[in-house]
Amino acid sequence: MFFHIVLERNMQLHPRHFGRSLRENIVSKLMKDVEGTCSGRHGFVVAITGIENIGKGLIRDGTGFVTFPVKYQCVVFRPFKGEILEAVVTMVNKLIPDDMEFQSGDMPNYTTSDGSVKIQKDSEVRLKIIGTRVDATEIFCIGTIKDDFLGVINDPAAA
Amino acid sequence: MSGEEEENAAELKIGDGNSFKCLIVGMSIEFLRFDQKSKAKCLMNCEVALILEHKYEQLQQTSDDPMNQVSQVFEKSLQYVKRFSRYKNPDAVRQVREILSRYQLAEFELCVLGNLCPETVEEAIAMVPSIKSKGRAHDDEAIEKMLNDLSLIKKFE
Amino acid sequence: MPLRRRDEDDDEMEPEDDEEYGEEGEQQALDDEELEAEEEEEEEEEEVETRRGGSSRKRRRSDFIDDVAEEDDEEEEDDDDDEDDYGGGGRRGGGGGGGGRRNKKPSGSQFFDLEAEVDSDDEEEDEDGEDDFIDRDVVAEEDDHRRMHRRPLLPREDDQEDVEALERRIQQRYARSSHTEYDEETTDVDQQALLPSVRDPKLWMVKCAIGKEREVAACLMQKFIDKGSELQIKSVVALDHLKNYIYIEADKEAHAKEACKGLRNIYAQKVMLVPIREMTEVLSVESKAIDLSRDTWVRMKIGTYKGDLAKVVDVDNVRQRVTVKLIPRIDLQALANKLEGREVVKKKAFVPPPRFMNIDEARELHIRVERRRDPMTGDYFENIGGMLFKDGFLYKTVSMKSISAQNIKPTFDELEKFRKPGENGDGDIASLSTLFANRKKGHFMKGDAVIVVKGDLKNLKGWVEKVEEDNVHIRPEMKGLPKTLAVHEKELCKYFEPGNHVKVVSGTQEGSTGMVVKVEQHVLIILSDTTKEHIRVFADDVVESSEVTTGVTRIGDYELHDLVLLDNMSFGVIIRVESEAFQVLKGVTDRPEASLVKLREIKCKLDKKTSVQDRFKNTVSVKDVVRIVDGPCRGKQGPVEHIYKGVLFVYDRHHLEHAGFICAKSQSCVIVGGSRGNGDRNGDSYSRLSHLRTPSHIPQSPKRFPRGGPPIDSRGRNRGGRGHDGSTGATVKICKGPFKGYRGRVKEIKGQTVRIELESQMKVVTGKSTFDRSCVSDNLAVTTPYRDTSRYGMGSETPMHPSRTPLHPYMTPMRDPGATPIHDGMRTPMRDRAWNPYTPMSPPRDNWEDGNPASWGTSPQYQPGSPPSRPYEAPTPGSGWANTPGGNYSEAGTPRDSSSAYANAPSPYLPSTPGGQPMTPNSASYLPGTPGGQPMTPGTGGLDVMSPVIGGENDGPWFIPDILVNIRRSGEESVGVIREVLADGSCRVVLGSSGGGDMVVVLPVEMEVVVPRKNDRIKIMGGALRGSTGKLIGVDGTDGIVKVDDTLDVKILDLAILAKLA
Repeated sequence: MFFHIVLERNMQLHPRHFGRSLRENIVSKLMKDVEGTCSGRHGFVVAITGIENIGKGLIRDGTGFVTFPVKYQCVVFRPFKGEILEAVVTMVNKLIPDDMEFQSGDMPNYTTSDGSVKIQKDSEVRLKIIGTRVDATEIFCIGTIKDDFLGVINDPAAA
Repeated sequence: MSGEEEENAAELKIGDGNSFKCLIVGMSIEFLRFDQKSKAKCLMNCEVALILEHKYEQLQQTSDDPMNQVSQVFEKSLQYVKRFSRYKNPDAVRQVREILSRYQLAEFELCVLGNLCPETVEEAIAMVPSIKSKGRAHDDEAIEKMLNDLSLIKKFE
Repeated sequence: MPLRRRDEDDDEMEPEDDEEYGEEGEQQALDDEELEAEEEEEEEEEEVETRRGGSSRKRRRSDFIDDVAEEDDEEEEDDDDDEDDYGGGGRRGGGGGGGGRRNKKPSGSQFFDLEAEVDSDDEEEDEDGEDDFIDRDVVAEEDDHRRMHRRPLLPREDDQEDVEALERRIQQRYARSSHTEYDEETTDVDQQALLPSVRDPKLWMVKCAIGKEREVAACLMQKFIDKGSELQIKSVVALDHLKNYIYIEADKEAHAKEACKGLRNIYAQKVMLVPIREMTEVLSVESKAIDLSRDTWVRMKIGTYKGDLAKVVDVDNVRQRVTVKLIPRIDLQALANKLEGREVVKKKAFVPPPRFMNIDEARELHIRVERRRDPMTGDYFENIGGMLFKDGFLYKTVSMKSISAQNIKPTFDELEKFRKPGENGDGDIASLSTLFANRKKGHFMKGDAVIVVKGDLKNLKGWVEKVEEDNVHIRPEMKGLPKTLAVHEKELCKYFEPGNHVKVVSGTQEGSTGMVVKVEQHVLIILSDTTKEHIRVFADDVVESSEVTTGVTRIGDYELHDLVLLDNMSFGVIIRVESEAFQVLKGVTDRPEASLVKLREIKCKLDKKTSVQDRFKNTVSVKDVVRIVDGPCRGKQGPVEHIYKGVLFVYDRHHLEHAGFICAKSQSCVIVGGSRGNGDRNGDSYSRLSHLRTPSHIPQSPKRFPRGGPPIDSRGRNRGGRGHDGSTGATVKICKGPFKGYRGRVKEIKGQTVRIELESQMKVVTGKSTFDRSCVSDNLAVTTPYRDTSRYGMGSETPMHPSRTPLHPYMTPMRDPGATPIHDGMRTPMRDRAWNPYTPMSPPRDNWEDGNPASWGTSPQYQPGSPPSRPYEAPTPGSGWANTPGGNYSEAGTPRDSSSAYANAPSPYLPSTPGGQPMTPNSASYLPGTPGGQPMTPGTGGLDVMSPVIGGENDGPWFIPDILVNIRRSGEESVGVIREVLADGSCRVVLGSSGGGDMVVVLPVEMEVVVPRKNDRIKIMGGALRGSTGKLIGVDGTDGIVKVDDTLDVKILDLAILAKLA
């Protein structure tokens, strides 16, 4: 699920960035540093939406770099165990088929025995996350489509 | 230890018959903690889509090649939320939140409903089991009405 | 050799009979066997026979003899099955001496060969043959007693004449064994009753000739048969594993001696009594009978197929033989040659690869293939040269001794192969359950999720509570069942759910980690973290773990799980190796802190082998198992992997975070299994005392704690500049070097050096903080001018004792170290941001300092050993503490509880511990005691623990009406309900859990909040929701999950601020 959240980060800035555009420099550096990262705790930082406050800078001994504590708002994506969400199939690999059969070929897919449902690349499925592995820098999830109202919601082949 | 945790998790899932059960059914402790500690606000995909598109437009104004400016996560997220947004129109998005918030839903319940737009009461309950909680007197009728409202927004979008 | 001769005769005369009765007797004996799986029983069986001997003398005799005769059969089969080649050779060899008998019945040489095989230890059986040929007589003789050995334990019912007697006997035996069958369920008491008592006959150990044990026993039996009750012995036991002795059961030594009279090979001069306690051991069997049943996976122990996986298709318990099917290793060409009588070129050490038998191929080679129907099963077998094939598998009947069934773990490859033709595999996978039948002990651990796979409770899930011997006590998942159930280990299988993150701990995939995506009975399909491919493993081989392994486990000189020093002088254990960086669990103890570290940020690997002392002053070194008794990870337990600066890195596989590593102060740990007695008592008590002290300091360092910074980390922080605000400006005392004893104000901290403005000289000096930085930090944290501890001594370890002294006045006795200070102990410190501001300045401390300046000036007893500890104690004014309601918190504290430790403590302290009276400044008396204790007590443990409490409690008085408290005063403990909190912090409490008793006024230090459990009604004692009530609907570590009554919100709150509602 996506969240809007306030995070804080200490930004170190070289003195050359000081001046009138200091704030802009801080913000753009923040975006560069933060957007697209993933922390296990907060998930993927998708986009910074605003700056709440930039604290007083502290000059670092020896280097001249200045550290600014920055509070910023951002949109994060963080999956949770138990969450139901919709997703696009990006890859079909041969993982233990259950009630569906794996069809290899140009467009590998899983098909039910009666052929009515097919899961292939670009299919949209609704799934429930049953496990997550959260590291400092990555989040892995596994999900299931075996539950009520889960499964393929849109078949690109049919469309 | 793991057993203990397991049990708690199970407890959370199965519950013990009170409204708590429903409140966090389907969501893990992990979520609760995240939710509470980070004071995060849940967003619906359609809201995220608006936010990201807005941001993307901003970028377009300042740079020729905005796609180069954004992270892969941004790009993918944008694609994702565009694809899975039930509502495109900003007004509609606002209405969805407004309408759903009338039903005393938890943030995440609201978002899951707004994202998945269940069509039937059963589906809604399957998606967000917690809405059918004793404590909050969501009977099928109320849920039905809520779903109706949602689909109306969609219709008039 | 008269005996021997008779055997042979019997063989000659009634081989057919032998077979026939075999059928029937077999059946019965088989049942018998089932009932009495234990060899022990069988032994007894024999004894019984002996006793009964008098009545059915004749039968017993022939029994005894026939028995041996039958053995011959078996051995022959053994030969045939086990090694064709050598069998042939043996026959040829036997031909020399055995003559015409050979064909009819196995000859001595057969025995000989068999023995040779045994002797040669399974290795060279291919080679023996003529070379080893020994004169037949010798063979026979040797054979004779060997056979005694090999004699099946179970007596055979082979006398068909006396069927009725036989029936009777079997019935008798059934009755007997049905008895034993219930053994499993008998209570301990019943078991006790079966143990021998003084009134029972005794067991005498009698010496006999080596190798003749069985023979001697048999002779005694014979003698008993002949003489009947004249012989006053009860039984004779010869144990396979005990050479040179037999046991005779008799009431008197004389009886045993009498019985031995006139027998060869027995030396009755020396008869030893087996002590009653050891009697049972004599007759217990060490190797458990294995559960061999159809579909069990086994491995061949000898022969061509040595090591091969086989599946049992039939078990003949009577003959101790099993029929197994395996993938043949047959060189068809060689077979064809052999069958056609061509010379077989003996290739040594060539074992054909396993391959399914292709009958057509065999026919092409002109091998004669007979298709025969097995009369018993009705199945068709292809018979090639005496070998039976079906579906490409070889069916082979072998002796039970030649297979091993214990701990067979077929790999998936093997199983895949096995399911090859015709089978869809379901059956095989299903039969995996048999794998569990013979697995290792000690397999389950507390907390494991398990599922019952056999029996009435099948599919019941639960968690392991306790493991004892074969039985595992599980806490079932289902409601309405008893709290714990005892389930046999073999009926359990570990249980995982899709989504679990697991680590494979044995088998071919050992070491991989991944998430469970599917559970197929006992087989898990795991999505590997490393390869993102799925792997199949047995549930048994897997444990739940948060550890993630990638393919790489090292970069440069650093490897997973190494302890490394980082360039900001912090240290930690590598818990994960990523493509270009390490994830390191920092050596900070108040909360787990993991960070990503690049290779270049690592200074060096630390692999010093040091040891530290635990809470009770026991030495802890690497690999010792410790239990963490306080701090956020309280309750965890595991081996120490690294020790550095008083910080232990403990590995607990049940800890799902940080690859199972937990960082804890040595003082927060107790060694498990180590003796506590070996620490000197003084030390012991001191250490405890010092613990007392520690908590008090907490409130005092407000700057430090808010960041949750652990002491160790401080250096890093200083370096990083983050600590500046906290430390600059602090007043410190220099404890070494030319300025030793001076006080001053910290002007600047830069890396390792500190600039201090000396109070007396108005000049600024620079000191190097080569000494322990935790000391420094602590001092830094202290803002009160009084307790300036000199830190900038050069490398001095001794800096702060001054600091320690102050606290003792306060030594609020109630916070005893030994007892877990906080009541639920788990308060993770970082939670509370707010630090009690009011404490630091407690006046008493000042007094103290002024009063005994000398005391801190020199710290003679100060041991450099545990520098970190000092800082801790130092600043603790404690006074603030005591007054704050939080004080009560440290429930443990009341000296009364920690009786033993206290009692031993020589420190004058003891008497002065008034419990309620924090202010008693009996510093003087106390002082002497302190130094000794100090070094070892970093006290930090206490610190962590306490800190949160305080934080929580800032919001107001801790206690709150209507909550349940435990009151401890005057040595007794009672429960009460707080009715009113008085201005001075004490409370009016109504005794009794429902509040029906007397009203008393209780000091905060005398009571402690009753920790709520799940589903209890609670009241929130701190934070924004203070005063609200709710229900505790779950506990997760140190967090309570609370449904608040008013709002119905579910909140996660620190357990420490929750109290059980009366």
